[in-house]
Amino acid sequence: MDAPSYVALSRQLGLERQLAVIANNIANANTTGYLADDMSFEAVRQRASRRVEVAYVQDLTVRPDLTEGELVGTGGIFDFGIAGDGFFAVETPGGTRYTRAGHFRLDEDNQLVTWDGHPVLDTGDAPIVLPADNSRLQVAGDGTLSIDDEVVGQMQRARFADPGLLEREGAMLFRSDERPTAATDAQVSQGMLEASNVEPVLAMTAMLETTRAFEATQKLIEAQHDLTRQAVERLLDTKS
Amino acid sequence: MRALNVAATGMMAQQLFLETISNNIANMTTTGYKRRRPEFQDLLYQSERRIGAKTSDSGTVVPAGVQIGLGVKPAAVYRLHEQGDLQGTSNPLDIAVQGDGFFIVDLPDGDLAYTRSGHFQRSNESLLVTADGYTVSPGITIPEEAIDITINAEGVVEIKLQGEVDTIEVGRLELATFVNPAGLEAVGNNLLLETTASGPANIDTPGNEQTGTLLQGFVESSNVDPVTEMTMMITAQRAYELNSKVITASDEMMASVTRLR
Repeated sequence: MDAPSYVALSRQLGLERQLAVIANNIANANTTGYLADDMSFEAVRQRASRRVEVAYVQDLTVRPDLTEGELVGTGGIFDFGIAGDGFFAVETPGGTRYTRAGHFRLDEDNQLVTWDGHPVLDTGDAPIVLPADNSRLQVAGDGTLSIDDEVVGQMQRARFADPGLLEREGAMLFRSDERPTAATDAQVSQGMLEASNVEPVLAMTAMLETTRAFEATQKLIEAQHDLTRQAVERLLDTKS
Repeated sequence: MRALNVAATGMMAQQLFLETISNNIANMTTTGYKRRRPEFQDLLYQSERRIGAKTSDSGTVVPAGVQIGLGVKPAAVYRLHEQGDLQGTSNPLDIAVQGDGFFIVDLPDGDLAYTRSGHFQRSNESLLVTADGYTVSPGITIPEEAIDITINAEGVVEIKLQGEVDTIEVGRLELATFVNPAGLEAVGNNLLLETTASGPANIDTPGNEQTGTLLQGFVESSNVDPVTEMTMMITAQRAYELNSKVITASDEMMASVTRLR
């Protein structure tokens, strides 16, 4: 008899998680290379009686939205923006990870590393070491690094068949068991960083929808509660 | 409610963004100031439904799970060492660096500090000192009776004495370069200190491609661009507002739960 309440409850728990996903998108509205999360739900069916089928709500997936963020000029010579479906490959103690946040620096050994110190990998999965005199570093669209027409390395541009399957690790890193191919269409540009692709308007409307849906579900629970109460009152009336 | 804490991390991050911008704007006319930019990163993710979990005995797996992020954290506030505009002052002891070099300053405690601010003076002991009175390395004495001081692009300091025809060389300025100048630690008063992230200082005379050249009678103005700062300020402020709306939304949701009979 309480099925509507439990269906509503499953919806509300899902909405609460959806709000957390939206909140995370908004919190990262100014995070370089951040890809917004999209959440989707699925129905879990249960046959309540011979004729009635109840569908509960369950989280299905949270997938990154792969729309490109705009490139913002920073002027930093080790700031790289990537346009197209490519990711930079970096080496972490846990293995190779992928990122779109191209905010790099040099470490004390002249290695090109991320701001957290993870080496950026070249097309042969090896770290990139620059010569000591690197103030005139130039980068070509295909990730080739050169100083005065002399090639010193090429950054890897990793492409995934379905980037939606990448697992997030935090600190702007993505993990994948799939071996990436070369993203030949991706263009690397120097002195630019990719801004977060969170659209404030969309995030705002999604948030309103979520709160309103939560309230609507709340009404459903209240209606069910009223019904039960009325039923109990009427039954008592007929007896007296 | 997770959304509340997530929005709080967002508000803190945008506040840091605004603080960095306000510091840049406050130092818009500071000689040799390099603008700062904050960088943010996403926080950890909680897996509600793990990617790659088995969904049946025949080996099918969850293709993309449910991962919920826990907000944002500041990753770095870094300096952008672009060349600032050179501003003429016609003061013979104002020197600007065109290039990547830093002036070397002897701190009173014996350590070395580095600066781009070349606004120098003569101390009561005739030494070339910074505006705070710290000796500019390697320590150049400019005699009291000198009437004309020239500092050329290679850092050679020459003076002319009353009644003399030839100039006398009294010393040569040195500049330091770093592998990663963004890794230098700022200690205020326009001074920077060497760290392991910046790498050791390479001390050299000015005039080569790495250190750059000197220009007498000029100071390097800050590289803060007011238009960029203003647009960043708008971005930061709106993002702050958005995060506060998330807090309102989660509050509304919680309120409707407590109204439940």
